[in-house]
Amino acid sequence: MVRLIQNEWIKIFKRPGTYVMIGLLVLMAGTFAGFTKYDESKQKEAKNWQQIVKAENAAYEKQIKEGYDLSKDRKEYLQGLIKVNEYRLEHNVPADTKTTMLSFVEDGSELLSFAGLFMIIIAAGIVASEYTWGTIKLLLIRPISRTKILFSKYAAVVLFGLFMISVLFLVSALIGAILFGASGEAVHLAYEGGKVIEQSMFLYLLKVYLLKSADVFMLATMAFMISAVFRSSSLAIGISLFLLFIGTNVTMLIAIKYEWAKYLLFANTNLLQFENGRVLVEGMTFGFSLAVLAGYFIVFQLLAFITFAKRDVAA
Amino acid sequence: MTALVELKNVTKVIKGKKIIDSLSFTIQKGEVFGFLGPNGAGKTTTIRMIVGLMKLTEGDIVICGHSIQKDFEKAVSQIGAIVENPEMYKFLSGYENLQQYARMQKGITKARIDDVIKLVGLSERIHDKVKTYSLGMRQRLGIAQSLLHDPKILILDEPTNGLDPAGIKEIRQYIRDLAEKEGMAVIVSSHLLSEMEMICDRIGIIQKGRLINVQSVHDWEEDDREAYSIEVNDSETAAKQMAAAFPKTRVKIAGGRLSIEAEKEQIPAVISLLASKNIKIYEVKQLSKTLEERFLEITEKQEAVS
Repeated sequence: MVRLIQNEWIKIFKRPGTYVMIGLLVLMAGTFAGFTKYDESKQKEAKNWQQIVKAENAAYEKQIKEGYDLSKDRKEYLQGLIKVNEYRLEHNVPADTKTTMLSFVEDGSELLSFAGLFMIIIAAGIVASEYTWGTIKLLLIRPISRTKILFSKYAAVVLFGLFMISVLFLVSALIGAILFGASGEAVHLAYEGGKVIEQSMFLYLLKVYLLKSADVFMLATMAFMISAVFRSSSLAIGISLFLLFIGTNVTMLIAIKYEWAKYLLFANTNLLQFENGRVLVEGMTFGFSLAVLAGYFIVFQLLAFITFAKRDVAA
Repeated sequence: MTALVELKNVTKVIKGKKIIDSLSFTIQKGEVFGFLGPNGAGKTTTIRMIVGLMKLTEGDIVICGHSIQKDFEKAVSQIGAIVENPEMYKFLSGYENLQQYARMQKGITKARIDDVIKLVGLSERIHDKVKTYSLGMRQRLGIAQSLLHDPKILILDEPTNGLDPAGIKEIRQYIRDLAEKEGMAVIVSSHLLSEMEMICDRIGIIQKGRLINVQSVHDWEEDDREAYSIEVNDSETAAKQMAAAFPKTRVKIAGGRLSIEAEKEQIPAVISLLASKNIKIYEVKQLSKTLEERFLEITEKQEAVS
């Protein structure tokens, strides 16, 4: 099995297109960093952090008092932010007043959908290309079950996705360190169960990256399924990218009127919504979303594996 | 002799249409079996079913005692094949392609890969990308790929396609060697019928999804009726005279020449008959019947019967 995945990995990395993807991702992180730096250089000298934190808290409290339509979760979230800021003042844990290496890594997570885009492109091609190249015939006459072959392909897609995300993470850290200096707070303050706790910044960033990647992983799985079922990489890329860019917005529109929107894939891909208390449909929980995602995942995989294993190869 | 491949009433229905209709035959150890048939007769479909690319609707295919349906992995591990064109990963080198396939089966050493490369004569270019290869080189690489795991059965679709005459001769010799020295069973399909005659021990003719004839090439060659072409001044009269004198002989007029099918011993009688009727004879030529003609004969006859 390891050797099958190795085969797929080689096939991905022996194509120039893959390096273009990595290059674009690095370029994008660089451009993003450049803009951030430029933006910051125009700002006036920052005030000291205590003043900023106090101003923030005043704004939050105003929001809580005046915002009538705030959900209970949202209120709790804002309260949490206030608590964190109070903790900062009390224990003298300075907040970042400008971009630092670590805060840039967090900002870099905005580029995750691009890393995801490339993952989708690989997922969309990994089965369909074998048909286009005609190599599927030589691949499927090996003494290896089709299930194993398809599994190795999916594993390669997931590994490639993780690889792209790591590239983004590391490149953001590197560019961040060069442009903003390797300083920054190594401690992340979280508000959990009514208490402010100190967390490792690195672990926090890891969590942000993973939670934010949920949607691209699901879309890559869908692209993989379409690729295996319809043997067309363009169809797989088309549908998946279309959904990647408009799926969330459409789901939000539906969610305004209908409660069943919470069962839609895109209502659940944003796992960070449970952190900031802004859930799409009242009553959704982290566990609920995970269950829905698992449901979609199983359906996608069943479709992919059943059709791939049963199909007559006539290409 | 042991049967390495056995097809038992293999039937394939695609969208309600019977593509293959209860095909049964066996292929022995050390035998080269030619698969012959017009386009669309079901050759490739049959080959695809043998290698497990297509499922059977009915019947079974047994390879070295393992059913392709129930025991796919064991059955197919004895087969090396090229199905249609030898399509390879063009962005990889020939060597990297072979490595891909080597990783998918146990016990293929680096030495084995090198041996196979030497065998098909690709040593010089093996580290070049496949996209720079000619069709002949891809064909060789395809054969290398099919031999990597030392299979007992080799299936080659159009093996000499795109090769130059020297290459064809080499591959032909090579296939014969594999069957005779290594005892492999080889299944070859080709549209070059003369090619088949030189490589194969037995030829199976398939038409409209049914096996209509299996003959050993040796038998075919023993057919002693030959075709002769006679150039005369008046072919019409000559044809009439022939028909009267030799009612059993088939006579045709083609391009002002007389075309007859007869045994060699009959020819002097034909000549003296025509001469006695004052027909001028310019030339008598023996047309060696090609495998192609014999093939068409068999398929046409079959159509007339059915």
